[in-house]
Amino acid sequence: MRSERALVLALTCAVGCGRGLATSSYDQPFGTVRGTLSIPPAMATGNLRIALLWLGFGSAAGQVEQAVSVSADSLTTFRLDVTSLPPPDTLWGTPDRSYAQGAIVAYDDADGDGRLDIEPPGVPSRDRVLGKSYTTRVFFLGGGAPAPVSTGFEPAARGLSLVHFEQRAPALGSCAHDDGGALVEDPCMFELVDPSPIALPGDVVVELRDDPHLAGYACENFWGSEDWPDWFSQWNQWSPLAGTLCRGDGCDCVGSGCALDVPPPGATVDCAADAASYTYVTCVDDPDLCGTRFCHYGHGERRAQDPAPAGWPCP
Amino acid sequence: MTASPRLGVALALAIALVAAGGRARAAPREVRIAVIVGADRGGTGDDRLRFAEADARAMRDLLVDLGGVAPERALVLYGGGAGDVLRLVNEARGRAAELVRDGARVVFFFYYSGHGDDESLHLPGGRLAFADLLPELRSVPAALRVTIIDACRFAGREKGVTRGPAFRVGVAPEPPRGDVELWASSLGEAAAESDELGGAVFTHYIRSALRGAADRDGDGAVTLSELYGYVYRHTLFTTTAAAVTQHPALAADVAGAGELVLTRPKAASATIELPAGGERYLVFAWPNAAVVAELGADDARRVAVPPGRYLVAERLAGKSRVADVELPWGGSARLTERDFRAVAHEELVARGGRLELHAASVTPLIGFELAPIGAATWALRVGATAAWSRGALALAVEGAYAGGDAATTGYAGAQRAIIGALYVGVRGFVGRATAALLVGPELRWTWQSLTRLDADRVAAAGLPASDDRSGGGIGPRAVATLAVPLGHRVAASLALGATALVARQTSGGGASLGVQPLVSATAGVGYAF
Repeated sequence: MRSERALVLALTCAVGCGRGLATSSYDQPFGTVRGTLSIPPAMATGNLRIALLWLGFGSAAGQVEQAVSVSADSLTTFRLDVTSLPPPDTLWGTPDRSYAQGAIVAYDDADGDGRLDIEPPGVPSRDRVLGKSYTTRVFFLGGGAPAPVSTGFEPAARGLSLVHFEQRAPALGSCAHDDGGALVEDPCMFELVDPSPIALPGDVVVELRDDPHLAGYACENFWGSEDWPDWFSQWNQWSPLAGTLCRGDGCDCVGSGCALDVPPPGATVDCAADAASYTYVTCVDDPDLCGTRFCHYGHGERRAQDPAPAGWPCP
Repeated sequence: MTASPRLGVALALAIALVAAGGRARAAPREVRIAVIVGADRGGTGDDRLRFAEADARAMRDLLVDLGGVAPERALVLYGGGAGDVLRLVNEARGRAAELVRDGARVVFFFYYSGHGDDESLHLPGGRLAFADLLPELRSVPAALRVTIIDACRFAGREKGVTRGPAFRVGVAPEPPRGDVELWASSLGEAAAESDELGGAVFTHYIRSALRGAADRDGDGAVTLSELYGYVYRHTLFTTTAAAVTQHPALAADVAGAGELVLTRPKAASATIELPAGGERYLVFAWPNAAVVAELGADDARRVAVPPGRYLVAERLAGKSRVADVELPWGGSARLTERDFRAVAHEELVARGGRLELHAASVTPLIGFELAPIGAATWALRVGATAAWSRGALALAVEGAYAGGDAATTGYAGAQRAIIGALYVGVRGFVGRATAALLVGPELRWTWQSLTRLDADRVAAAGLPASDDRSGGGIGPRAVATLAVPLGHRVAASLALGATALVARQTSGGGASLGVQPLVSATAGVGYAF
C-alpha cells in the first residue's frame, strides 16, 4: 500500500512538480497590463486592435510600436503582455537610470497586418487610431543607480509600471515665487494630476473618441496627444513652429527682473480674484512633428501691494 | 521390391566402378533445373498438412544454395493442380531442350511434398496420376533426372528399387545418365510429418543430408549414394519408434560413370563444424527453431547452412547440451566441447530450438532528439538500454540523458533532461536483423537555463535577465529497433522512438499541462550476455 502511494506520488510529481517548462514560444513578460475598452455605442471600430507605443521625443526619434501579446479577455477587456524592453531610441536619462513612456492606443487595423502602420509625416496611414489611454501611461524605469531623474513620476517602480497622467493648466500664481521681496519667474508648464505610479496590471481605460488628434499616433514623429510646453521645444530647437508662440521679452524669461508676459490679442486670460496673477494658454500643432501640440503657458504675477505694470490684462 | 541400405550401397559401388573404368574427357557445362511442388492441402478426405509447402520452400533454398540450381531455374509451385504441375514440367522441358542444344549437360530435379498414394499425387486442384507425371518427367531432355517424392504410398502399386538395364560397365566414359526416383516410403506406407522436426521426416533428412550430414567421406560433396544411405537409415530409425514406419525407397535407371554429386556443402558460404564424438546433434535455425540438420554418431561433422544464427543441441542419454552459433555474414564456425552448455533435458525437449542462450543485452546508444514545440528543438541523446527477451516477447529499460541548446521567442540557453523508460513489446526477425516494437512509459526531469535575448540591456535595467526552470513529465513512448548482428554476441542497433510527453508547460504567464511530442533516433553497439 505504501509503495502504491509512493508510486502515485512520484507520477503526480512527474507532471505536477516544477515551474513548468518553457516552450519554443516562451517569453516571460516584464509586465502585464489589463485594460478596458470604452466604446461609444455608435462608433464603428472595424478590426479593432490594441498597441503599445513607446513615445520618442525629438525631431529624429519617433515613436515605436512595441511587439506585445494582446489577448481579449472579453469583448471590452484585454490583457497586454510586455515582453521586451523599450527600444533604445525611446529611452531617456542615463544608462544607469533610464526611463521611457508609452501610450496604449486602440486602432482599426484596416489592412489586417496585425500592427499599427506608422508612416512619415504627410503620409496617411492605412490604419486608423480610434482611442487611447487618456489618463494612464506605461512607464519604464531602468538602471540600478539611485541618481534622481526628474520625471515627475517618482517614486516609480523599477521596470514596468503604470502612471496616472492627466494634465491641467498651471494654477494661478504657481509659475513664480517670492524670493525675499523679489519675484522670481519659474519655468511654467502644465501640471500633472496625481502623478502616482500604479501597480501592474492596473486597469487601463482605453477610451475611443472621435478625436482627430489621435491620427498622430500613426505618424512616426508624433510626441503624443498631450500638450507640450513651448519652451521644451525651444531649448532643443525641435519645433521652430513652437517658438513662434512666445512673443515679447517676458514670455520665456526665467529668474528675477523679467519683463511682463503680455497675452497676445484674442487670448483667453484667466485672472486671479485679487488680480495679482493671470495665466493664458496659446497652442500650435506642428505638422512636421505629426501634429504634436505645443502650448505656451503664459503667466503674469505681481505683488498685491505693487501697482499693475503696463499691459497687465487683469482689471 | 523395397529398397534397402544394402541396395543403395550396391548402387553406389556400381557407379563408382563405372567411374573407375571410364576415362575422363572434357566435361560439358552442367546446368541444373528444378521443379519443386509443395501442397499442404490435398484432395477431399486428406488432412491438411502443416509443413509440406514449408518443406518445398526449404528444398528450393537448399538446391539454390548448395545444389547448383540457379534461382531463375528453380520453378516452384505451392498447391495448384495437375495442370499446374505439368505446365511447370513442360517449362522445364523447354528450358532443358534449349540448354542441351547449347551443349550443356542438364540435371533435372523434381521434388514433391504433399499428399499422395501409390497411384497419384493429391493436389488441391485435383489428382495427378504417376502414370501421367512420370512420363512427363522422363521426357525432360536431361542427362539425369532426379525425382524425390515425399508422400504416402498406400497399397496398390508395386515400385521399389529397380536395377537399371544398361550399366555398360567399363565402356561408358560419360557421367551418370538416366532416372533416379527417391520415395519417402515404400509401398503401403505413409509418410509422416514431425512437430519436433518442423517438417516431413523424409524431407528433413533429405535436407540434412544435402547440407553435409551425409558426406561420410568428407570430400565436401554429397552424392546420391551418400544421400540415400543417410536418409534411409535416419528415416527408418526415427519412424520405427513412431506409429508410422517409413522405408525410403530408391528406384534408379542409371548408366554412365562417376558419382552423382547432388550438393557441395564445402563450397557453402556458411558452415558449422561439430566436435567429434557426439551421439546426435540437431542444428536449429534461430529464431524459427526449424531443424536445419541432424547428425548422428556415424555421420559427417560438417554441415552447410545459410548465413544466420543457429542453436546446436547435443542430445545424450540423460543430458543435453546446447551451443549457439552466429554466422550472420557467412563464414565457418568450429564448435568445441567448451562451446556447449548443459541444459535440462526437459527444457530442451519443451523448447527445442527456441532456447535462448543470450537473452539479455546491454546497448549504449547515442543519437539525437527532436522536440518540435520544445525549447530545445534538437538535443543530443545519450543512454543505454538493457533488454531481455524470450521468444517474441521483449522487455527493456532505458536510461538516457538529453541535452542541447534551448531557444524560445524571448530567451536562449540550454536544456538538460534525465530520462527513464520501461518497455514491453514484441520482436521478430527481418533477414539477419532483429526488429522490435516496444512501448512503455517514459519519465523525465528537465532543467532549463534560459537567458533573455537582450540580457545586457535587461541586466543594465536592473531586471532579472535569466530564468531557470525545471519540471517533470511522463508520457507513453514507442520505440522501433533494428539490430543487425556484427558477430558473436555483438550487434549494431538503430532505434527510432516517439514520445507524447505530458508536462507542465508555459509560453509565458502561467503554466498548464500540455503534450509535447518528441521523436528520437539513436544508434549503438550492444552486447548480449
